[in-house]
Amino acid sequence: MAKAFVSSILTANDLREGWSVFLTRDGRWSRDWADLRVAASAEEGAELSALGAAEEAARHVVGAYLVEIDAEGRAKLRRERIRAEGPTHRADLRRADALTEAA
Amino acid sequence: MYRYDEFDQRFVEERVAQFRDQARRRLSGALTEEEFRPLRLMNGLYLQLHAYMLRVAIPYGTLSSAQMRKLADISERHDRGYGHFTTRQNIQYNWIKLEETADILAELASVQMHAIQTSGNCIRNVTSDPFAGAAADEFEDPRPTGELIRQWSSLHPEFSFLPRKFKIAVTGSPNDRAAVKAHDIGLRMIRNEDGDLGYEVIVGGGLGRTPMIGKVIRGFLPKAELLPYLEAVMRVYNLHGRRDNKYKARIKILVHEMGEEPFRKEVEREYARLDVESLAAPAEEVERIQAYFAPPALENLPEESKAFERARTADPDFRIWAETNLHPHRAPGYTSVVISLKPVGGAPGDATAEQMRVAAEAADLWAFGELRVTHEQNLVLAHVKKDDLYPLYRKLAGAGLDSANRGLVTDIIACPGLDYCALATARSIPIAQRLTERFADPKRQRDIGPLSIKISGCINACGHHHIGHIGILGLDKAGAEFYQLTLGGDPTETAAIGERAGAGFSAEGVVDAIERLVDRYLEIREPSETFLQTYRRTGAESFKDALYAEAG
Repeated sequence: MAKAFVSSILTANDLREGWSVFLTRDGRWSRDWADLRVAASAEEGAELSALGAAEEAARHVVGAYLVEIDAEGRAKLRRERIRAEGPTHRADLRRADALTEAA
Repeated sequence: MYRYDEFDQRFVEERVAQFRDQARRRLSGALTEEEFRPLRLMNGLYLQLHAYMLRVAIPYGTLSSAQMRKLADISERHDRGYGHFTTRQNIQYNWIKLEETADILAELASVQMHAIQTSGNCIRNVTSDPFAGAAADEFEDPRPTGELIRQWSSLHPEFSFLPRKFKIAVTGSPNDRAAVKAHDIGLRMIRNEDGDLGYEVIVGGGLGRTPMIGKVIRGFLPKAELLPYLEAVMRVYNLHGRRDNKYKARIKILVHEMGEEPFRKEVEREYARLDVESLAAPAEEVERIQAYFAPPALENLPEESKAFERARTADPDFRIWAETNLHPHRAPGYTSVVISLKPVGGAPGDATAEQMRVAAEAADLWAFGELRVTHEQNLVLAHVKKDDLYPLYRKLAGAGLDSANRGLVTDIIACPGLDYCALATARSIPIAQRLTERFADPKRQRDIGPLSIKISGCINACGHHHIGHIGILGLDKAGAEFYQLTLGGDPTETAAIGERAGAGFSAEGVVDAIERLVDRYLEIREPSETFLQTYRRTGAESFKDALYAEAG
């Protein structure tokens, strides 16, 4: 049986600047994890992946992929939370609303 | 210090222009990411967890104050105001923009630096003893050897696409401070019975997922034969090293699978076929390089310094610092100084732009304008008059560079881990932060004595955990960070791979576990015995008992 689809958002790195970015509901790439476009089904996931590939081809971003989120809308994996919120070892490098447990 | 000649300078500048064009073509769409990726990696530009990361080579860990200032400027103008000094004596910037990278490389070229061969399956930056040219116990400065290998291996057409990356370390002292036995090739300068200088050649060491201690394949190699012999080793590796499996591609696997003796024979057979004379570096070129490393003009001084003694009596914090952060110099009245990048609660090896500038200024004022980066992620001023130590210390203290902990429990090596690295499975830096906080008390640290803790955030072992007296390996277990301990590792001439202690610990539990280990050591040590000595005398059992007592 195919694995049940987990709601996901689309992330990548900005091609020019390198920073991790996230696709918003209105189709912009944002450094902030806020108002993101969510794929709630396998079909929407495939659509979002295709959009990522198109954005790579358009040279806006590099390395686009889907990130699974939980019921609160946060990334399920710690790796992805750190990627979204910044390194955890210095408060000044983190997003102000970061939730991942600090040191 | 080595200075680029016109060929070196032109070569590095051409590479900058070449990369500028490659980046332009990437941004214009003429190159896909797949095409561009190997090109950017050849120039040290990775795509990491958050952004592009640029790794800049610091040959054998030696740099001038002008170069250090340039590194500070780059961190401020092109990054977020700090850099990370690595276990391979390089520096990494974590927040680099692709569109600025060519400019950064041009700035580096203006001070004779580059990022070439800091990635990829080639011969990487040669690492060395941070006290090279200064240490009291040294046969000879190992850096001319490092520079010779750098020139030979830079864009060597035959060795630019090896089965895997290749790391060489050189020490000129019997006391190995460059972890040469944990490198693909380790070179130890030695003297033979006739009093001639040469190298003991050690091959097949390495850490990562299959840690191995290197094997001596040539007990004494005359100095002049270095490059031809290295050429023979590289050829055997290039031909027989595995290219079918990335995890079995390092030379350590080849030496292990072939067997030490067959490998040695294969190298000697290849060596016999080579035209040694034509491959050996010309004597005048060796002399030219050697001349760049001529010792600075040291004064004739008495061994003891009155100014130093007075300050030591007057300022107890200085006395504590001087007890740990000085290293014996060969010349009377001089010492080498370790500038610790391991403050309590800090990220090991990180330095701010301001701290880099202060270190550069201190080097200009009191250390002939020269600095070193250590594989333990600290900085060194190699030649300092004892008379100047107190003003130097005051200057360092003003920038938070006065941690008195060299070689102690808080002098932790850590890779960037999951806070930065795309490959990591767990965080390293926060564990180091909590350990330094737990063991912050200077008196307790000094009571514990020499103890190295090394932390890696994945099995690739960039944090050298296998050769830490206590090694910590961060893994992921069903979504939770999880830390395995190894005990009894040793990076020196008595090198050993640490033994797995048993079941791992949670992120919450690992600091307590290490404290239990340390407490057990304090209970069972004999007078003046170090942690490693106690471990070797008593074996793992007495420590495991302390680690897992609660679980039982």
